[in-house]
Amino acid sequence: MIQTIIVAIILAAAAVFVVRGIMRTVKGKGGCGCGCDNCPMKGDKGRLCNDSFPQINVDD
Amino acid sequence: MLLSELQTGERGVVVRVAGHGAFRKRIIEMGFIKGVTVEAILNAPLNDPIKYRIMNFEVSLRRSDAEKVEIVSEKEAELEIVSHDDYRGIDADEQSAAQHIAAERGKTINVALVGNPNCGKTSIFNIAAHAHERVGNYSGVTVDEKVGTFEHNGYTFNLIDLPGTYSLSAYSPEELYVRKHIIEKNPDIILNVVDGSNLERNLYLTTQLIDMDITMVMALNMFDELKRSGDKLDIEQLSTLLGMPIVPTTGRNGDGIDKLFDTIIDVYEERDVKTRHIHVNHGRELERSIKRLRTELYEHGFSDSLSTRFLAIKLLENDKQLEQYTTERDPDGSVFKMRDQIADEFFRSSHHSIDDTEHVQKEHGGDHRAHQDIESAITDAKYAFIRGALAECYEKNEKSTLHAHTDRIDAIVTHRWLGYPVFLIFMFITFFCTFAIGQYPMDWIDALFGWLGELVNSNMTEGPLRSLLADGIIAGVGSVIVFLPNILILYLFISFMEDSGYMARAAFIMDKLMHKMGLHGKSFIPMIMGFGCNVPAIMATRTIEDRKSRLLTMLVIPMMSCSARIPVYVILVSAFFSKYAALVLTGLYLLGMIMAVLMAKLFSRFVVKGDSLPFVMELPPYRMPTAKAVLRHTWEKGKEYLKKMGTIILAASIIVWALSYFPTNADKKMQAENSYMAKIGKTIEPVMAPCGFDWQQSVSLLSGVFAKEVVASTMTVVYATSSEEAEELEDFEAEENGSRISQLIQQNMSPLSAASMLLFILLYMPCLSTIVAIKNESGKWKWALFTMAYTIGLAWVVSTVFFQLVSLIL
Repeated sequence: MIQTIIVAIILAAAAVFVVRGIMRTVKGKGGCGCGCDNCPMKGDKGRLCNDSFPQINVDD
Repeated sequence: MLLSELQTGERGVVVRVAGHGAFRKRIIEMGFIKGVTVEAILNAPLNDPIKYRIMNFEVSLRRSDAEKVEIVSEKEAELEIVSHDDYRGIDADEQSAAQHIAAERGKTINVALVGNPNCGKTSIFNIAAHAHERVGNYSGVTVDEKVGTFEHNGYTFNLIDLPGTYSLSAYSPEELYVRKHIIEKNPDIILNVVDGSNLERNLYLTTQLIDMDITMVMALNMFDELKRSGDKLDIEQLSTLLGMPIVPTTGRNGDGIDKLFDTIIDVYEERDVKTRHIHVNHGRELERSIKRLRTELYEHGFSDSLSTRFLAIKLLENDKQLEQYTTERDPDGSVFKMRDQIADEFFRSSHHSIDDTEHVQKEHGGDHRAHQDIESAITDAKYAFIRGALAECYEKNEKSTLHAHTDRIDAIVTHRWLGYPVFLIFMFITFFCTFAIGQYPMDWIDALFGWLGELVNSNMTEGPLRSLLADGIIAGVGSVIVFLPNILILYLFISFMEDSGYMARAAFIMDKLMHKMGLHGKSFIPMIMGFGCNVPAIMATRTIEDRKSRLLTMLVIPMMSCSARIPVYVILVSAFFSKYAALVLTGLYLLGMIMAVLMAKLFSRFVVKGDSLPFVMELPPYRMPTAKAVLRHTWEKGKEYLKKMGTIILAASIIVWALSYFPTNADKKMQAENSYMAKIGKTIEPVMAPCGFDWQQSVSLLSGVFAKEVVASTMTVVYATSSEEAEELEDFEAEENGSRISQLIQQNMSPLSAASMLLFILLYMPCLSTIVAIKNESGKWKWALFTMAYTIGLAWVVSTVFFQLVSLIL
């Protein structure tokens, strides 16, 4: 029984981590998954990068 | 806060005055200097000008001018002192609080690193800010700004590393980006990094920065190379001629960096005697034209945010972005009328002199500028200024053999025919070492995780927790972590090739092929970066000016094998093709590149149409990479890999285990066959069967959508929980059959199916992060979804054709 409870807690934590990771990635907040401190996709850095560096306007 | 935000009746202390040239001088002369108290007498919303009291007299400033003055208000100081322990002991009610905070803030210096690509900006940044940003001996490594903060001699430095740029024109994204940063962010000091071994070309950017009338310090980097070459440079003289202090530095070992930041402090505190504003002389006629246009710009109030001299020069050069900026402030177009008139007169006067100059040319063989437009004339004048300055202080050693070795190596590695086999040999050696040397530590780590699994199994009672630990976490994470040595060895080789300058040559020899296939030669750099991780590679496409090439490169980067795919390759290769491991791995990487180029050709014909621009790329001299830099880059990658193990791989292994374990059944075989994972796998199995995949392979590939390493951990967990033979492996000892994981795979998969799976993994959809990166960079979900669809379709077709054809033959 104790084993089942511990497994349930670990599973829930893993599920939350994965779902949160996917949500953050899709929103462009979570980094690329490479785990590096200066991930260009991460948080403010990603936004800064995307706002200020010229990007493609595919409709041009 | 800004002076313009100070409300009527409020007082504040001046921290710094931004801006440049005459505008800054005027403000300072009015008394707005560091540490002086200023009071807003009348600041009504939307009212212009604002009235202030400073040094017991009243002045009025335009709101736009007041925005250039940073202050600390007494109200702000009061709040800050209450909330910060550092300020304990200072009386919050007194004006001294604001004085104190203003003095503290005044000791923060914002410095922007500006220089040509590959001149060593990031090396200086890393040493100064104790950072570990990626550096490489080729241009385009930095594609966005990196900010580092550090203390030096009581001052706080905010150091901003900007992308390398050859000029401040508006031709390429990095040029625009750097210019925009300087104009909008107004750094206190521009640290102009100059490659000492290539002065003439590097100083061109310096002359444009001088035009901008900003406070500068020059780092004469790679000074060791300059000394070794035997060239003689009178730094004092050059410093006087350019009107800025010059500090010799060597970014590779940190020589001169301390002195550099001491000099920046002196310049910031206006103690440096060498700092003065000079004008780059463009010749009598051009200077007259610039002066006329400047006067017109002054009359239209252009003097506050941008140097009118710089703006006038750029308008004469037909700079589209600054034309747009001017239009907003000059709706009646009188500035443009003046500009066009000046350009017309300049053109006519040039033509007028044709007869004379042709005569001169015939007589003396000298050059003439009769047919040159005003833009070329400005460029020529700048180079003439540089050559004139260098003639006075620089003596080139014509017998220098410094770069002779570069020419000798280039004769082979960039040879028309030899270049390609040399590239292939480098790749083969890389993969041979990755596999052969990596095998030993890989076996040790594998044995360690095997022992851990046994420990759990023998010491815990049977139940879900034991299974989660042994079959889920230890098997899943262990199956990926064993490849850490391979990843480190691969990065060691890639770092060496990048830092030595070979990668730039690889791009050079690939240019012709790339161009034929509709890609830009510059596309090769992001594609090579894709070997590490596809996400920064997608972002690195920002350095490609041409829209079509940029989008094409983005679409084909997922074909480049990222390091996350290595664990899956090595598992399958060591299980079935260990004798030919290096060949198979080289073949896979090459196949990825070939497919990328073929896809680019196809897309440029049918999907993304447009003209591509010519390829211009610098070939840096070969440099022996320092062990520190190579090992640091390798370790950074290893650290990232380990971090991933503790996060995404761990979480994915737990979820995959749960899906494979539940619903429980007394019979292990039955449990695996009826698990949720099996249900998912069997649902997609019919679609994947033509490729030769069973349900376990199918779900493993599905899980790779989140991160490619998860394919390896899923395969191990699924086979470990579903295979009857898996239990026998508990007594496994590493021997000639390969690792524990390899043996598990051998028992459940045929070599043909494994080969088909290798092809599928190489080509099928990139991870979720890469998809999002494509969406962000292209600005449309359309291209991200297109990439998903075409990669999955391509992988399925190639694997199916391969599997079915080879099945027929065998």
